[in-house]
Amino acid sequence: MSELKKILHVDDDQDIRTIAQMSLEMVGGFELKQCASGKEALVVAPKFRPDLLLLDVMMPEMTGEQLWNKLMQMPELANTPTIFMTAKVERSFLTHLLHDGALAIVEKPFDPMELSQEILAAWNARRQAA
Amino acid sequence: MKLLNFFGIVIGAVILGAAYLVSAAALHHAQGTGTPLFGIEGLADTTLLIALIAVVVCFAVGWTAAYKILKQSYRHSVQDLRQHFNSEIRLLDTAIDQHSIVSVIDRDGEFVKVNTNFEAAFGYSSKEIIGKSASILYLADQKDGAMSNDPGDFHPATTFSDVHNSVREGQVWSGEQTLRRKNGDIIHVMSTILPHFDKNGNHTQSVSLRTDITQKRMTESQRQLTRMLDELQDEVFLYDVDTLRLSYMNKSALARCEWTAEEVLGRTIADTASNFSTPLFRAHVAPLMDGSRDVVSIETKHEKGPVEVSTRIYTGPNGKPVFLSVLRDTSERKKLKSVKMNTMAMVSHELRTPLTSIKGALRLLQSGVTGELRPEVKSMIDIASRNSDRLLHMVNDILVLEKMNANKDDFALEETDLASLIQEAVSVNKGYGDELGVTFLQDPIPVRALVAGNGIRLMQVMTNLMSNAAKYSPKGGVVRVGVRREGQFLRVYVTDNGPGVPENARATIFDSFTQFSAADGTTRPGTGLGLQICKKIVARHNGRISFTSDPGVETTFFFDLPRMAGAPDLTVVRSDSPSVREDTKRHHEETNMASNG
Repeated sequence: MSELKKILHVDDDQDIRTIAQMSLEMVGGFELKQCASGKEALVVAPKFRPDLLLLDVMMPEMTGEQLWNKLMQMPELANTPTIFMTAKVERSFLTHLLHDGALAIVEKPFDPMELSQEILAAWNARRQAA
Repeated sequence: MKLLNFFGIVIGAVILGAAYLVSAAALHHAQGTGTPLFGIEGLADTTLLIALIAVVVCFAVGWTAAYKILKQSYRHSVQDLRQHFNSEIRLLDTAIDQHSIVSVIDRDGEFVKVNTNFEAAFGYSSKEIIGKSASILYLADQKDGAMSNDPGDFHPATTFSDVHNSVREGQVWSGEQTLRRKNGDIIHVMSTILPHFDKNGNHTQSVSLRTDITQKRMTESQRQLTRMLDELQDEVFLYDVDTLRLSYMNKSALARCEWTAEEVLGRTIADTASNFSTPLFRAHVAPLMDGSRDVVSIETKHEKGPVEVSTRIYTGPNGKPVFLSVLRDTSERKKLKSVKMNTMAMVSHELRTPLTSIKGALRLLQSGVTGELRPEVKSMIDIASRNSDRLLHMVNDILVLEKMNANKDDFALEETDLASLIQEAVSVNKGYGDELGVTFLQDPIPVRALVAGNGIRLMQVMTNLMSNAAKYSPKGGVVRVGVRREGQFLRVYVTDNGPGVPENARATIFDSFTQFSAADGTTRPGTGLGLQICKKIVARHNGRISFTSDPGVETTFFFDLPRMAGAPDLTVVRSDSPSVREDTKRHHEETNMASNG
């Protein structure tokens, strides 16, 4: 499994996108693309071909989970490791996503100084398991 | 008798007639032949004399016979009359005996005679009660004071000697009495007690006639109860403690089961729900039976939706304990709760999203990735950062509280070892202590201290208590943590030497949003929800949480959880610091528990 370079981040909140951008680009040094909605992501993702998807769960029109299902049906993106970000911290909800194959769940608010480390840790754990 | 009288008169008349005929014949003979007797003309004849004597004799004999016959007939009539009276008295006796509870006591108040009604009504056989004092029937004379709860008691406090003395003075005592059966049940009677005196006016006996009016009294009070209860929105069930046989259901309860009032009798509480389990029910009401609780409540599901049932023991008008269950339909409340829950989850989510940006931005600024900050700017950023942290804690705490209020299923209790919990808590909170310059020290703890608990939630309690203790400790202070046995409970305690809890904060310290200045006058940062969360978690474990505080000297927050049945006794393995002042401290705590509990 290759090194983690390209991340596609989808979140409807402009400010959170900005924080995440600074965190992942400046602190983590990743190549990042961001989308404000699932609709936009469905267009961007196949061209960008990210190594990892970072999806917000609660988004209007299309939830993170719905977007995930759609992306996984695209041949270019099938089996792309996915991390969810959510402010909804009910345990039953989290286990359900992990059970369905999500790599990890990042709780909001996240620490921008720690986010990249957290993502990398999940990425490496997965590689070891594989 | 009349016939005999008649015969007597006839015989008398016949003899008289015969005497008359004889004397007439003699007279006639004397007139024909006659020598005068005693010189008197016509009396000389002996025949005449004989005739006269015969008349007298005949008359005497006739009279005697008639008298005898008359006397005989009189005796017969008296006998008849006596028999008549006797049978009438017997009839009356039988009637009283049949109708009333009859007892006879002697001048000392001891039973001499009781009838079968008495035996049936009071439950004593005549053999066992004769010779006993009548005071055993009187409630007010019983030392254990088994008084009826019925507010309508007429003579609840009348003692036997009250009654006995008034009867001995020659008064007939009459009135309602509440007496006690052999088995302790209450019996309501209407009593009339009559004294009997001998020729010299000495009291010899008293006869008591009683009528059992328990049923009447019961139906009266039941009618009263029924009228009130029938109008209640909540559903009410009354049923026997032993047989669980229903004696009453109010209108709303009947509606749930689709029964008529007549259909209730003969059924048991188990018939009211298809999923009713008698063993589970018995376990549920066990605290009522052993008297450890006055009321037990349970949330459960009925065919017709979620319900909450509260059950208590109520002493009925006949003195017999019955279960009184009040059932409330909670479907509306559940609906509201889930709406509220969703709202809370939404609010929490909505709050966390902007907090993510605020905290993220501040964190990036603080880290210096966006460039070096001037010291005064940095201190402003720190203030903003601290308070956004606080806001986030509050949001989290609210969510935890709401979650605990809303669904209980999330709270599984399993075998949990408090000893390892404490060890873990000490290591988990070490970092926080270091930040504040406070050391967490573990007192000697047992190998295993088992309770039925939820590890995650109990850790939450530990973290809360320990961070509070650290916050309120002086710099360089020590917070001691440990567990020890307290009777049927295990007590986990966190002790600090901070300023302590001021008097005016003690009553409300476990309430929501209670933040107080410590006894030194300063307030520490917090959400004001921590202790309320602790209290809820501990309550969910059937435990209790409290504290003792000697301001400036020592403050201990502790919670007691029921020891798990069959758990081995605590054995101390590690000894980090000697336990000092154990006895005085315990005493102090107990005094405080009383005022807090």
